[in-house]
Amino acid sequence: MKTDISKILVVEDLVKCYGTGENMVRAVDHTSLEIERGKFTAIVGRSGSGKSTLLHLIGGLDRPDAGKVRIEGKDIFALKDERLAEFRRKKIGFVFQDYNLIPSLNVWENIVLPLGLDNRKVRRQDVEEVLVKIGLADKAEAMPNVLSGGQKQRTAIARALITRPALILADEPTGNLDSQTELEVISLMKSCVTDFGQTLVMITHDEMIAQMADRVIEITDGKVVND
Amino acid sequence: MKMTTRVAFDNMKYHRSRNILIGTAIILTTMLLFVVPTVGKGMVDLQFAATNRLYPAWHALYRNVNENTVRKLAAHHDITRYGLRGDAGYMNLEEASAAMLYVDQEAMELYKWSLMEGNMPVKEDEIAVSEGILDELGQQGDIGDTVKVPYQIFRGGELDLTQQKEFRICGFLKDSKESREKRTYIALVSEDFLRNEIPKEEIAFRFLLQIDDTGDPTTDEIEQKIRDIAVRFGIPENDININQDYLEANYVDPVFIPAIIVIMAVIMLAGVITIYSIYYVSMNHRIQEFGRMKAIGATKRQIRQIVLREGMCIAAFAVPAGLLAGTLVSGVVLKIFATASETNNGYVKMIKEILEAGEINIYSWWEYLLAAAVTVCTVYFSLVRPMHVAAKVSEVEAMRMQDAGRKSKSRRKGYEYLTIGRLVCRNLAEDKKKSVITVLAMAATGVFLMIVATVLSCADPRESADGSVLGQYEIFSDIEENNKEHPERKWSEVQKDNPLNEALMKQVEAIPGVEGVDVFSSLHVSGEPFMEEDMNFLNGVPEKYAGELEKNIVKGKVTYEELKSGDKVIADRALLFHYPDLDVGDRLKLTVHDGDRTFEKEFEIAAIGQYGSGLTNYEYLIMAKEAVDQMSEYNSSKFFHVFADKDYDSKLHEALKEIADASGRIELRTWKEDYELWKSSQAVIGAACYIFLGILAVISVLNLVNTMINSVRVRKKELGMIQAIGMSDSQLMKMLQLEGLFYTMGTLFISVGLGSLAGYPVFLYAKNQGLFEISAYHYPVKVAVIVAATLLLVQLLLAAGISRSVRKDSIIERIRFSD
Amino acid sequence: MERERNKKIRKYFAGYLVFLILFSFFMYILAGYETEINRQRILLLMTEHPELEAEIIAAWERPGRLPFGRNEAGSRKELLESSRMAELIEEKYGYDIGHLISERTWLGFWGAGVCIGTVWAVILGCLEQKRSAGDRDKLRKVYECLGQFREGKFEGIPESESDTEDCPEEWMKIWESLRELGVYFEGLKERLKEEENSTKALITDISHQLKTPLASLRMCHELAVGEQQTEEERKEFREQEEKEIEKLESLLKELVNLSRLETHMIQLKPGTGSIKKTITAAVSQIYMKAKEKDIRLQADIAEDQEICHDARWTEEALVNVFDNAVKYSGEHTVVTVRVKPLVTYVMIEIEDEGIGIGKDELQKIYQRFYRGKDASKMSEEGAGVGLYLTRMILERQGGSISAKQKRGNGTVFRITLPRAQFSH
Repeated sequence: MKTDISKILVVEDLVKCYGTGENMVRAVDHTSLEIERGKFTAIVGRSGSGKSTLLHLIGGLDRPDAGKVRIEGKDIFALKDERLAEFRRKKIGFVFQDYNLIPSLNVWENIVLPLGLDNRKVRRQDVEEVLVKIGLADKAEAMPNVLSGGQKQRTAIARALITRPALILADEPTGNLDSQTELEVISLMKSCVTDFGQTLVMITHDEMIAQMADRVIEITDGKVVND
Repeated sequence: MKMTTRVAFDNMKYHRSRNILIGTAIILTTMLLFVVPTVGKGMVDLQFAATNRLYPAWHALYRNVNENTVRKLAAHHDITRYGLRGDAGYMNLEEASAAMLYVDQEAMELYKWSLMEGNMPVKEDEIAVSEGILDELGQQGDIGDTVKVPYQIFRGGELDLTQQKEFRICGFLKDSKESREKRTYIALVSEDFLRNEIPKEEIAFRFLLQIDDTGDPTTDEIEQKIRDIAVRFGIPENDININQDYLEANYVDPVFIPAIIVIMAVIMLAGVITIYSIYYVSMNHRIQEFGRMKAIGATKRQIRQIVLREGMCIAAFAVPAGLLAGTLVSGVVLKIFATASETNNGYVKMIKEILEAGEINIYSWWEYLLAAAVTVCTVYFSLVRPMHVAAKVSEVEAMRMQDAGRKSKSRRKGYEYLTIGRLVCRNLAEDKKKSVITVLAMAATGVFLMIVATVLSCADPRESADGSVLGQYEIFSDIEENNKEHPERKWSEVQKDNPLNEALMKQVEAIPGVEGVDVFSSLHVSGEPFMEEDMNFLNGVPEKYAGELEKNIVKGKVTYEELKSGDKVIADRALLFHYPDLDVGDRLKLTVHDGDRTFEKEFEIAAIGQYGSGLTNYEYLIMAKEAVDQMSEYNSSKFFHVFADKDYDSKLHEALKEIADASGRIELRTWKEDYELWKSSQAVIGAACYIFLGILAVISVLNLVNTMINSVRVRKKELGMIQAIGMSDSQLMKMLQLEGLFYTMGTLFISVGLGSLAGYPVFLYAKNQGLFEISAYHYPVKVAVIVAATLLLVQLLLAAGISRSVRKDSIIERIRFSD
Repeated sequence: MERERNKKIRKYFAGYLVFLILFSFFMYILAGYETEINRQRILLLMTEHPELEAEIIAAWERPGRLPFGRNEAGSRKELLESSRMAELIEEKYGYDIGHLISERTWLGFWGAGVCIGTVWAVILGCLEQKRSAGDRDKLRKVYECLGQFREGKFEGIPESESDTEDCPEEWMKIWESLRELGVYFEGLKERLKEEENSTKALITDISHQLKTPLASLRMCHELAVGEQQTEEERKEFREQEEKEIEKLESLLKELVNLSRLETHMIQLKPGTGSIKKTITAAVSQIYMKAKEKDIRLQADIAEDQEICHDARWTEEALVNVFDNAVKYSGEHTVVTVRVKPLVTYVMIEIEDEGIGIGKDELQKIYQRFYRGKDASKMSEEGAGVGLYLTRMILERQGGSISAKQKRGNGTVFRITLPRAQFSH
């Protein structure tokens, strides 16, 4: 089929429910949206509004009850788990609120891990450049447990960026950070994304962050209410 | 319910999967702890019961006791029961023999003899006979009938002229199958008959006695008492006959209890290691839990109590289950043991009979109590350290730190790029202690298994039989040195008219299938440093074995040519067990007995060697046959080793048997009998060892299961993270497989490597000890392969199972997972 | 391509020949060995039984007619004869006649071996052929794709999922790269179109923006030159006219900057320089304006930072923010500038005590020509270009700007600028 290539991400009528019977919660309720390539989109909403679930579905971390997610025209849920994982590591970078670094690996290893998983060669120079950029050039051998929150998140960003994925999904990346670190982290993400022409979709509840976005989508009760 | 118990109980339910593992470990431990003593005791009990039935009940008998001494002995306070037997003489029968004995009522009971019908003889002309005797006499009769009996009376140590007398049958004894076969019978006569026929001073009674057994004396103590009494009453050592089998069957052998204790200690150790390691592995994970508890006000004591009670709660479920399983297993095992033995002699049959009749109570309450108590101790020991660790947790640290409890470095050189393999290295290096503990705990069992397997694999029944019997058949004179009744069976007597002569050899060689006969000669020697009652022989080995003799020398050097000189000998190592002072170069001044002739001769121990009992025939001073023959004026051939073309040929055996029976003075031993014996005994022991080790192995596999499951559980979130950034399921599977492979390979290398290395010295030890007549080292390939295959299989299944269970949750559920 | 193939075929053929020769040699030796043994046996047999010589030789020389020679159309009698003979030899002397005909069997072995070898070589060759055919197929597809690109169609790159199973990873990667290339070209095309559109929009916007001030200027001018007004009035309108011109001038200046930046006529040239200097320069530009309203300008710069930025345009961007702060603040208030170094960024915080920005407006203030409701009321000055421009300048340098409504009154703008520039 012919796909509109300027839309990197198309969400079609996505539904995801948790629980059963009376306890059933529609975390994502017939949501549809399109995101353009190269743009910074912020998804805002109260906690429990289903924005995280939406992001996880977009990233293929979970499978929906109905609906489709197309990334670069490809229906990701039509892929088998194995292919989905491969697709994810090639196309999508994740940044989580609680960093999710691997505690047994040092900063450098954490960053190059996605490359290793993809059997790709590591170019020393690339990694060093990224390390300088995130300001952790002197901490390449540090273990995650001695890093501050900002440093951890910057490492996580570097990890998400190292494979140059087309789509970066960030789930409240600054939720655990103070406002200055937050500003720094967001600036970093934004500039990296614009530098490489990547698309950034970020969940946030912070007004200031949302301002920096090219587009803000508000979600309430699993539905897009404001675009 | 107390709060701590309540919490402990809830905890137990919450950590179900781990506690099922611990529970299984406890069940298996309990089972082993129950099965080992139960089967041990059961076997012993069965044997005792069989012994009690088959053997007479006297502890000892003194021979040649006169009436005076009898009276004195009877008054001895250590003797609780005694009976008298007086041998009057033998019936004069053509081919059969029938002893005419006077036996009093007590002795009847101690011998476990009883009359089928009728009464004991009281009057002089009364006699109790058996059907067999009547048949031999060619007469018939019933109680009250008279029979004519020709007999010879024992007088002054020899049989008198034949007399004839009419006896009235007063009772009947039962003929055993064996007595029918051997045509040896017993007839009972009255005391009056004995006293009438033999002068008072010549009557030599046999005094059967039982020693006072209050206070549960050991066999050694009872034997000591019997000897003490004998010494006090001037009864020579030769006249004492101790009923060893009966004593062992009824009184505890001092070696038995320590052996059981050692085995139970090993089991306990395995249990402690396993349970501890299961706890250790999951402890880090639970530190937060205890930290929280502390934060809401639990004291150290309470935390300790919670951990302890949780363990005990599991034990409360697992111990009864283990006892139940143990009850079933030990029953089955006992049955297997009792029936596995292929030799079908009366003893084994009796054991089977007793077992089937259920006459022996295999299970007794103290075994259950013991197993339960020891298991609880095991659980407690394995909990001591986790309790301590849990109590030490600081609340703040536990709450804050996700990886509390481990001290990780702040910086570390890393890999420039990562592969799955390197990722695995990192994971394992992350908690080296845990990885090492797991591998070592498993390897310990593996090493143990390999060592035992080495010994068992070396125990090849064929080789053992080869070692214990040279050739396929062995013909030897019926020699008894200390039998007063058969002085003609002394070697010195046999030498004078040796049935193993040229004619016999020709006869044997002529039998079809016989390929050759090797003759070993022998001469009795005595003197320093050998003890008087110890019989030692010069063993004349034919030249054919020169190579083997020289090859198996362990110390010193000597050639067969030198041995031919007659003044050099090789001492077998076995001799050194009795006389450890002997060494190469020692010169022994010995008296050589050749028939009635004796002469002094000096021998030099030129070397010490190690040979199978087939070669030595328990005669440990080895020299050339030529030299021995030269020393002797008689024919000192003692053993004919017959080599045949087949391992066993019943026709050949029959032929040899005929020859032996015809002579009446030689006996026959076959390679096959030994082979069967070795085979069955090794099979039983092997099965027992492998069952035992198998259960131990299961316990240690549990350890592996736990480590793997736990390493995944703890890292559930981490694995989710890695998957979120692009690890595919197959990569995850590969990673888990590799991690498991580390444990498996680590265990494998250590157990097979170390086990094989350690196996060799153990083999040497077993060889020196003459265990199973082991002679050649065989690497236990089969076991090594099975161990490797099992480990790999377990680990593959485990990794597959685990990764499936991991995949069950979606990635996002795993990332959110926090516990 | 063709040469490559021929080379491969030659290689296969050579390999097969070597196999053939080695195998034949091996079989020959085996057969020779066996024949020798048989000959020895026959000789032995003959010396032992000279009377049977004729039969034996017959059996030896005509193995085909022995019991196995059913295919031979020879006379039945002969067949019977020879089989009887064979049986005789077999029975009498315990020889297996099979051995005698082994030469034939060996030949069979050899044939089978050669056949298997041939089949094996052919299969291998076919597989290779198929593989290279598959490769060629893929190469053709790539060629087709490139052809499409040439024609300017970048979208129709087919999915590669269908035949991933038997594709080597390298192929997948080439395919992905091709797709990405397509996406990239398509993006370029889109951007070009977009730029064209935005330029059109810009022109429309600018002309729209210029319309109002030009209209008022015209009105003033008309009034000023009109006959009805008094001299005094006329002077007033002149002054008004002057003001309008000034406004128009500043608007034009902004619009020129805007259009130049927007259409990439101006390239920012970042160079290392003191941020303090840039801030000071910006502050000095609005100093007079602030003084008029008695607004205190407070600077809180902990330490000077040498950062990589385009001093002229950054100053312009800052001026816009300062200007807003002064413009929308009441008299006797304070505007504070703070500079804080972050790890890889420098944060410039500009805080005022003005009217603030409504929550619903925070998103919109960076839009081109957007003016806040309250702002329009307060001052008619400004075209709503300032913050748009500022954001553009900052983002072009890898920085960012965001605003926050302060508790109470006022706004906080946070600007970040990277400390070092990266070339990509």
